[in-house]
Amino acid sequence: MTRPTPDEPTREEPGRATGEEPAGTRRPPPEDPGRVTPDGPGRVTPDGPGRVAPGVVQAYLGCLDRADLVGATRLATGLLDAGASVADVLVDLVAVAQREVGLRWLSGRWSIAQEHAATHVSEQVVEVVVAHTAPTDDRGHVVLACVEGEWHALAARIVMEVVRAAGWRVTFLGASVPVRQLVSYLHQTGPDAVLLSCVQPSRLVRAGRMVEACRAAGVPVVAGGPGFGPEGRWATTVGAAGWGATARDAVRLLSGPLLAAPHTGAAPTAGSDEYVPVLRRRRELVQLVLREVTPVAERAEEVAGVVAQLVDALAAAIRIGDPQLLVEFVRWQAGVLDTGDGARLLDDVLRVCATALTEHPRSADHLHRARTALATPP
Amino acid sequence: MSHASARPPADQSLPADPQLARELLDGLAEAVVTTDPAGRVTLVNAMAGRLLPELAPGVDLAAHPVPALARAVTEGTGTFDAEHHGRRLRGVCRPLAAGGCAWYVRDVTDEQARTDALLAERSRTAFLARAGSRLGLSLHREQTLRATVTLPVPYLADVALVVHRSPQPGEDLPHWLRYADGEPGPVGGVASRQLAGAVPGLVEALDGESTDPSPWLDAELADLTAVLPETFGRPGTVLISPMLSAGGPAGALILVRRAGRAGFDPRDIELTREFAARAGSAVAAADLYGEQAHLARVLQHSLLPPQLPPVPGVTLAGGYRSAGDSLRIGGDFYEVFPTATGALFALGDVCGKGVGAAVLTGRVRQSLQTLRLVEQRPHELVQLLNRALFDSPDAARRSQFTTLLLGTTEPGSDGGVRVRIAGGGHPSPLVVRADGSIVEVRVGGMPIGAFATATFAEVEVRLAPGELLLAYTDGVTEARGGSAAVEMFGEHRLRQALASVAGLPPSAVIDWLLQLVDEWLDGESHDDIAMLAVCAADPA
Repeated sequence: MTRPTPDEPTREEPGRATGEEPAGTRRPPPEDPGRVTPDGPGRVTPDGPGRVAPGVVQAYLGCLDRADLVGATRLATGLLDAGASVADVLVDLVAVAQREVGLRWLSGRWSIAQEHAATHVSEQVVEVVVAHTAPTDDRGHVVLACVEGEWHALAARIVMEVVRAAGWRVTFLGASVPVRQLVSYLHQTGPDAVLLSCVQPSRLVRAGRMVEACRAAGVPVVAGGPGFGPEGRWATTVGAAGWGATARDAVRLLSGPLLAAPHTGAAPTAGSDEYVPVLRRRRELVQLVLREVTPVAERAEEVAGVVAQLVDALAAAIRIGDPQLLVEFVRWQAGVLDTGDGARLLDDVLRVCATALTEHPRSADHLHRARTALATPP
Repeated sequence: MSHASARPPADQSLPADPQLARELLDGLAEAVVTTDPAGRVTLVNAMAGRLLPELAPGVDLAAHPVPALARAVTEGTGTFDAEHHGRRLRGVCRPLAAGGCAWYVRDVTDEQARTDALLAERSRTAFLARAGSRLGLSLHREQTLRATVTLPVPYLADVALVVHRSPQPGEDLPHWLRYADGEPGPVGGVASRQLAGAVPGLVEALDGESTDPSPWLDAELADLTAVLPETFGRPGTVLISPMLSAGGPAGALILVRRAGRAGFDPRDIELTREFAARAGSAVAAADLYGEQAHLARVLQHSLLPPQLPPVPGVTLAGGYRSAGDSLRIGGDFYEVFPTATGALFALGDVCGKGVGAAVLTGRVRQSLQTLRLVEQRPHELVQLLNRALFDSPDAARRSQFTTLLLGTTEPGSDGGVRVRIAGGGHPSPLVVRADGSIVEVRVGGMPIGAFATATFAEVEVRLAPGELLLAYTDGVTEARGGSAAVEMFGEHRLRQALASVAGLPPSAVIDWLLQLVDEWLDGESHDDIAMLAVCAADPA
């Protein structure tokens, strides 16, 4: 029971619009890796340094750059022949390269077409690599899902294959899984755990709802992806049993004691319920900002999208009790709105939201912090 | 005016009458013992004589007649709480003005028993509440069984074991699932035929006989060790309870305590029986849900969009979102059949949504599946389909109709693909040309299955290599969302979105469109959505 798109639901996001996009086209949020850099400075990767030499990764990126499927496949299978495990190749080569692809798109070095072609090559490589896995013992059944609203499936696909290679039966429900579909699936199949991928912290409220739903169905959740914060620090706040940065972490967490009892039932309560009224006023805030900021007609939908995401990030920050989430989001957004007036536009948006939300003390505080951060370069 | 200043000092109002003082002391429900500064007992009242008979005037309190009291005196704690002659005593010491001190000792045996009983009752209630909420979480049999064996450990037993029969027909050996204190999770397996016979009461419990659960010692339980952890050793006491449910026995719950742990008292047995009954009901509910879900899944599977076959000369992709999230079936559909020269494809929208629409969808798809064997020209096939649907029983009464696009692909002379499309009242497909422009292909025609005399139309369109034709249902363009949640997604946005992904493969185009519509909806409810993209393959 995967998503009913007949094609393999592993397409990377195709529409990463660049400068040539038609006026008014919704600009899709980039796949995260370039943003909350999971391997950025100061980060200690829980499972140690990559097991694939940096030179090989560079060569692989070269293949992606040329959309050279044959060369990329040869590199990957060469590693397997030299004794690397499927997990090594997927985690330390394909996933690492995919992060770099995201960065190159974000920094404008690659066009959307290049990014898409590169992702397509990596998908094919994944197909070839997983053909090398032998069926192993059935250690249990795991369901893998991307948080509702997230469409980047290659990273999740890699997790699926690595966990499968470690002996688990994995069902991938696909990108953007609606909560009801997930719950219905859990009741039908009773898996041992759910692996939930969340790339953008602004989707943490939704991720939290999905975790609550899984807990309510008696299934513990292992969280993955940078959306759960640096070192996954917000994962347990929303009720997940653990958090992993890579597919290998997922295997490690699944192999540990995952007794359902402590991680099911009622989720830990949020520090503040203020995020509920804030989310309820989301559309109202979007319209208010559009009236106050009056962007040119072609940019109206883009600005509306920015505001909606910002309100999501604010709600998420309140939900997990960490204003830094909003601050980081605003800094990133300022970088994405590269048209020069991005910071000013964001400041206007923050100001209007702060005025509208004065009766909510946490919102006012978080928005104030975000404005201050925006005014001071990091 | 305060009472304190009005009242005379307390000592002035006391009569200097030793007899009265003695009578008052002896009338107290509390034991009173006084000592001189050296710690020797100077006075014991009547209650002290009863509770602490060892004490008499002249006895050294720090010596050993009452150990707990002696310890309190030696260590200077000023209080004690201990069993003495079968009574629970609690004492407190107050210094006397003349030196020495007075011990006031209360008999709290009954109070303590009530508190203990209350705490025990509270922990039982808490256990049942926890059990109720955990058993209520899942509707899945295995999950429920896992909860059943983890919950009683360690509160009620050191090992909990469920022996149950699989609901799969044809499996007659019982299965077991166990959780032992300290193990990372439940483990299970198939039980030997001997197991049931070897454990007294298990056969009865599995047959649902409401035998009174009763604990007994392990003399005959040799075969139980096969399902206990290797290091567990000899079980202490064992308690077997049937997991009764309305539909018959769901299994048997076996609780095992280690040797050395106290046996099951009557309240434990009562509690276990209650728990086993709740677990039985939960398993029965899960079984019932499992049957229904299986039925739904089988039907759903036949109604879900199909896997698209490979078709020479074209690449295809379909996208589908149903209005309801949990069953994922509805009134929109697409279908692709390979033909001798290319493909026959269809995309349609049955009026209505949900299961009712899905059933009619199934009928339309089934009819197509059959009719295409005798007719593959789009216009003629649509006419046939119209007659077939119109002739079907109740069609008129239900006044259900379908809008449809039905097309064929065949290789074009110029290396591209020739597409012929017949239509029945469906939104016009869009073509993404090689130069990035978006062109509407007007098809027309009337909805099918509604009128016997309906007329249909057919058009032909050529796709150069890399050009893409998108057929979609009105669920796409009529998706209401945006900042005000009432604006339709509209053909304008659809065209813009298509232009922004011109040149990408169909699966990427479909995913991008689904994502855009999803974001546009932003959680608002929507009608069924279906899309089918047909792209003339690049000769390279």
